Amino acid sequence: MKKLLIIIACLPILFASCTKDNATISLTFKKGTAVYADIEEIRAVELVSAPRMIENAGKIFIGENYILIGENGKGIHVLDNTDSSNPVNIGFLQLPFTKEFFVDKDMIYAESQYDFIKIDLSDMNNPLMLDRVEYAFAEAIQNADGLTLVGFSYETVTRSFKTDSEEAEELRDSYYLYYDYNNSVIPASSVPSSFVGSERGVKGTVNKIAVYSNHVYVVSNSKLHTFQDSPSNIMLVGSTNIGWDNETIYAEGNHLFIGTQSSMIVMDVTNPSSPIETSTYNHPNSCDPVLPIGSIAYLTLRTADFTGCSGDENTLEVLDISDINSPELISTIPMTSPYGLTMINNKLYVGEGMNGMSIFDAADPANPVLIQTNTSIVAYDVIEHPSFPNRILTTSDFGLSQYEVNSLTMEMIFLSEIAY
Amino acid sequence: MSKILITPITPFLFLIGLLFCAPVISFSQNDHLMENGAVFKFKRHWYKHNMVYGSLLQNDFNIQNIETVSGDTVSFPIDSARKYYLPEQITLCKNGRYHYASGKIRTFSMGVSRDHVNLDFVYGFRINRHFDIGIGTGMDHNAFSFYTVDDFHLVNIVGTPLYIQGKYNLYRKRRIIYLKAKVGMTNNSETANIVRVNNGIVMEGGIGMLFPSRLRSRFYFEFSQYTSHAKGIANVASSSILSDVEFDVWFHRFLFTVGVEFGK
Repeated sequence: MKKLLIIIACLPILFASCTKDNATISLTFKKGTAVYADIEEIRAVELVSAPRMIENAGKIFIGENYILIGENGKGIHVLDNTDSSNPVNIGFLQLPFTKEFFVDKDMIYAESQYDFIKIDLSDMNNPLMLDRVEYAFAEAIQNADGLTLVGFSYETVTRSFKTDSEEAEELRDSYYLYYDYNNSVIPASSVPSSFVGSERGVKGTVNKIAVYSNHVYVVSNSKLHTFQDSPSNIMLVGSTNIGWDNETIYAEGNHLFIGTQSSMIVMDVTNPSSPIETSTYNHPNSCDPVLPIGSIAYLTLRTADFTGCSGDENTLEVLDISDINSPELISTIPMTSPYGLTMINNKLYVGEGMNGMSIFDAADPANPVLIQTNTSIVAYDVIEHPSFPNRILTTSDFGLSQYEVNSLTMEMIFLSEIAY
Repeated sequence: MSKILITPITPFLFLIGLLFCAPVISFSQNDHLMENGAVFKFKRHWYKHNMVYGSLLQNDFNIQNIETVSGDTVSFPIDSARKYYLPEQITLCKNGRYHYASGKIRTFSMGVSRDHVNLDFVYGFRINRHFDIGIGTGMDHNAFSFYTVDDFHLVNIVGTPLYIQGKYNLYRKRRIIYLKAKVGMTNNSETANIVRVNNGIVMEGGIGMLFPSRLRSRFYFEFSQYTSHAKGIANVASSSILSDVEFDVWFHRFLFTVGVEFGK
């Protein structure tokens, strides 16, 4: 009897592994399939080509007389905007697999797979590649044929897999599931961050590249890469781990403001070659461009299903950053779907995507007051014209629009649209 | 998190189960059974207590003679007994606790495991000292989970099973150790986040121990392996999932069950 009782007592231990779920789930998600190519062939592609149609617009930059519109994964369109009412597409910079670029003083800094590129655009009719830092962001990943991973082609697929499978594990860590050429899963952690999420390209100026004091800073998903910039070349001087889900970077004073999905990180660049993390302001998970102006920083927190923005916040947060070591929240303004933002003539413009654009009076920067929300336009990002303070540009799924703003009535007069 | 039904109370129920077990485990130490054991419960306070038990010496329509544990022989008229159990109906221990040897049996039980709880009622029949059969129903709750990049998703399935059950008594002394098996179908229910779910098979097999009692009720506990199936569609909110989630899941659970058996 005692033996039997001992056996019964041991049963929970013996059968502990008998409690499990044999669950198969079938769901629809974004799949990225690895694309391999001869990277030297890609690097050898001629930089300048004839103008072409804008199909999948990405980054946008406004220069004195030109507009640059990124073509996701292919390059950059160059438009002559000397006549704002009639911008003319004059050329295309072929930068295969590029999705991030930044312009400073007629210099284009572009992230291109593994490489970082500097292009002189002082003559917009004759752009010139000044330098290329090869493998600046990652070591080459090659397949058995010696070809190099150059990117991912994305598609929406419906698949079934076990809840304890490799796919299910990856779904926990990434918005996308990455597959190799032989259809095996690639852990998102081993995918170079410069490759990740090219389908999530933001239309507008929300930047992952910033320039400060002859240095260029690039945020990837988890790192801050620092390049030293001289008139003719650039050189990688360091890469620093700064956390996860980094989205945007903005240089203001001798600080870098890095927006992540869950925080705003402030980095001191008094020594530009060695950025030092100064402080972190945590906020709920969301997508969050940050705009620091003087002692105030504006932070839009956006949440939306199926856009890669998790959480449940849609707000404009106003932060006091006079003590850069300890940013403090001044106020939180409810929004509908805030995206990019800019400040022009003490007016804060916040693009709300399909819900229009909100304009705040920021004469008192710490207390922006909503003037109006224009729901007749679609504005994911709002961009200041570098030469005409009353002119703004907005981006949407349909194109880049230019408006003249009446500074008294805030009436917006449509000038032109570059459709894409 | 996708909350389809909030029932993460398994640990709480497990503790309640342990509390149930405590008095059961502390039951008497007398392990001896009585030959020809019988129990008589009287209408009035009659012989020390309102109950007398022992080996039945004589059984006719009028007078019953019982030899008690202390060796006394007690005689009484049968019509003074409110209720009685004769040797063919019970197995009697020397402390007066007994098991039903045959007849109708009803059981209420609760089983717990990780991401599982079930409440059951079985209406059964003890065919002889070795076999029970019965038909049961109740409520089963199972859950499976998975993660997406922005959330933890717990998919809860609630079902009403209908099954047949059989027990075989391996060891029948003061305590009864038995093997149990059941098989049936569970009527899975659609909830707010379960868009559609099919009915599924439910099976269970295990071993248990039943404790004797002087009352109509007696406690038991079991360890068993439970399996059930559910297939359907769940509505799961996530940034990375672009559709409802179809699921096809077999729940395998090692259950700890406590219950109460009632006889006539």
